[in-house]
Amino acid sequence: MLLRNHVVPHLAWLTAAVVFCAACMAVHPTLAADKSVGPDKEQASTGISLTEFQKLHKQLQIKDQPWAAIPWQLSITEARKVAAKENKPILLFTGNGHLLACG
Amino acid sequence: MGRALILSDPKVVNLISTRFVPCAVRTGWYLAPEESKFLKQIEHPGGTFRMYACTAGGKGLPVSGSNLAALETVLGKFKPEANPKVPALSEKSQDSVVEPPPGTEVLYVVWNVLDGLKLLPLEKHPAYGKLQREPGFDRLWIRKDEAQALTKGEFPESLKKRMFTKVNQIFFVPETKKLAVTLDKGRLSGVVHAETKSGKGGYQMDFLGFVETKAGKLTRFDMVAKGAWRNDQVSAYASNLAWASNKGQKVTVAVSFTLADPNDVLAKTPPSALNVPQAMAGYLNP
Repeated sequence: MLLRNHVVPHLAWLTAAVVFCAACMAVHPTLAADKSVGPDKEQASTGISLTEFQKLHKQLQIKDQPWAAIPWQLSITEARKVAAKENKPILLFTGNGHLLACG
Repeated sequence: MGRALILSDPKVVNLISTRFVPCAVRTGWYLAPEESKFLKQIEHPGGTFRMYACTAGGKGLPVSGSNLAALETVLGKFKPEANPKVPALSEKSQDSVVEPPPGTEVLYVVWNVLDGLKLLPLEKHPAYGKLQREPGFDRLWIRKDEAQALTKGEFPESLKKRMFTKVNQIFFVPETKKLAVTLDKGRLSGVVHAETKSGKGGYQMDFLGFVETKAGKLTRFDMVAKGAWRNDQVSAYASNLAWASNKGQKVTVAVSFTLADPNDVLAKTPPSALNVPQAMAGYLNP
């Protein structure tokens, strides 16, 4: 009885308020943009079309980069052998990260 | 990152390819003792990133700059040695070389920012602009049994985990929160979502891919993921994305995985996660 008379009407008001706020957010452009907060909150999947796949696939080809065509040696010892055979100097690219990796 | 600045001039690339023996090695983690000794002999200056020239016999030829003139100066000073001695690596050193187990397939992993960049004043410098447009690149190994599973229409959990661990590393995110993937009749599709611990950064990407086989062998693995990423980490300058994306900035990014020709020299370079041979077991069994 107590539940029916006191809690249920409050719940009805609360539900109405939530529905009203959601409707406002959907209509108001600023609030709607806020709803789309991006990668930090899970979003509905939109998928990738075949056309988009083909475009991105072409765009993300490493073989098109100028440095990718260089005939790299990956070992100092092998580079020394080739340099000795071909009478060329060695050009060493060294570092904590590999030149041919990451960004 | 330096390669975008140094190796974008076709004349420089041509000179390096034809007049030098170009060699790229990672010296920060592991190097065979014989090769470490050689670097000391040529008085290699060390550091995080260096371009340095030397002869096969072990004479250092410092390079003062990365332009065409600097490289031509080195060539002018170079005098070939008569029969320089090049000692072979010891058996122990050879065993420490990071090589893929037999039957391993290699994927090229390439990523970039597609749009949404806001440049900082420093990054408006043309040189840094090149860095920002430079795609990131790494390799990812597919175990023999994983490749075989793909030929049977299965997408092994271990491969999924290795691939999306790599994606998380690219975007400075600790772990995947949601991964839904379907491989149906050679067509890969799905969605991946990950957040940083703060919940303020992360990414969500859709992906599409194709797997093809011939006579029980994997002949095609092409996958592209695209979506939004917000970086809430301090730029680590460890990746082009760190340059491209300031803290809190939301950008559109894409990542591709493409089956490589195993004979390609770029495919022979180990994945960057394999700093030392000891990392192999964990990498292959994530």
